[in-house]
Amino acid sequence: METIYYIRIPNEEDCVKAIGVFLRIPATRYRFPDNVMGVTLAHIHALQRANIPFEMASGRKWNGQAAASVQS
Amino acid sequence: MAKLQRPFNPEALAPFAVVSVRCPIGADSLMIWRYTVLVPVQEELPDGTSREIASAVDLNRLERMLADHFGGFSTPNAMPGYRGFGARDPLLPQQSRESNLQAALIVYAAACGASDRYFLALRRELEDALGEGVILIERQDVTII
Repeated sequence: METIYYIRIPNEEDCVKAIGVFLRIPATRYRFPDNVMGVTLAHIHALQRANIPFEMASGRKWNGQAAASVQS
Repeated sequence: MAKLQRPFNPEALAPFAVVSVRCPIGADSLMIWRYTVLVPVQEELPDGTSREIASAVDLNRLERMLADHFGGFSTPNAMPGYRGFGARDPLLPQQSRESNLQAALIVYAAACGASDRYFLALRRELEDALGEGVILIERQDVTII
C-alpha cells in the first residue's frame, strides 16, 4: 500500500495549477478542508517538477481524529 | 452543439449543505451512501480535436466545496482516466456519438434524504455551469465496519 503524505497548498492560484497537474497522475488523492490534501509521492514529484509551492501538513486533525478516517 | 458554459458556482449548494449530510464515521458499524460524481473534463471530438468542459478552476471550486461540506473526499486511482462513451442526442445516436474524459470524485455522505437533495442540486448546478445535458452522479449503499 502506498504511503500517503499530507500537504497544504496555501495559495489558491497554486491550488488550481496543482489540480491541472494532478489530472495526469493516475493515483488516489484525498482532499480535506483548508486546502489540505493526502497525496502520493507521484503527486509530490509532479508538484516539484511544476514548481508549485506546498508545505507538509500534519496527518492528524486538530481534534485528534486521524484525517484519513473521514473519507478514504 | 454544446450549450454555453459559465464558472461553477459553489454558492448554489450552500442551502443544501446541512449538518445532516455529513456521515458520523466513528466506532460503530455504519450504513452510509457513497456518491461518485463524474465531472466531464474534456470532450474528444470526431475530428480528433478536443474541447475543455470543466476547467481546473471549476474542479478546484468543486473540490473545496465538497471538502468543506463533507469533511473530505477521495479520487480513484484512475483519475481522470474515466472515459465515457455515449450519444449527446439519444434520438440521433449515430450522429451525436461522443467520448469524454471524466474526473471522478468519491464522497461519503449520510444515508438520508438531505444527501440526495444535495447531490441532485449539485447535478443541476454542474449541468448548468458546464453546459452539459447530463452529469452522472452514482449512489451506492456502503457499510463501514
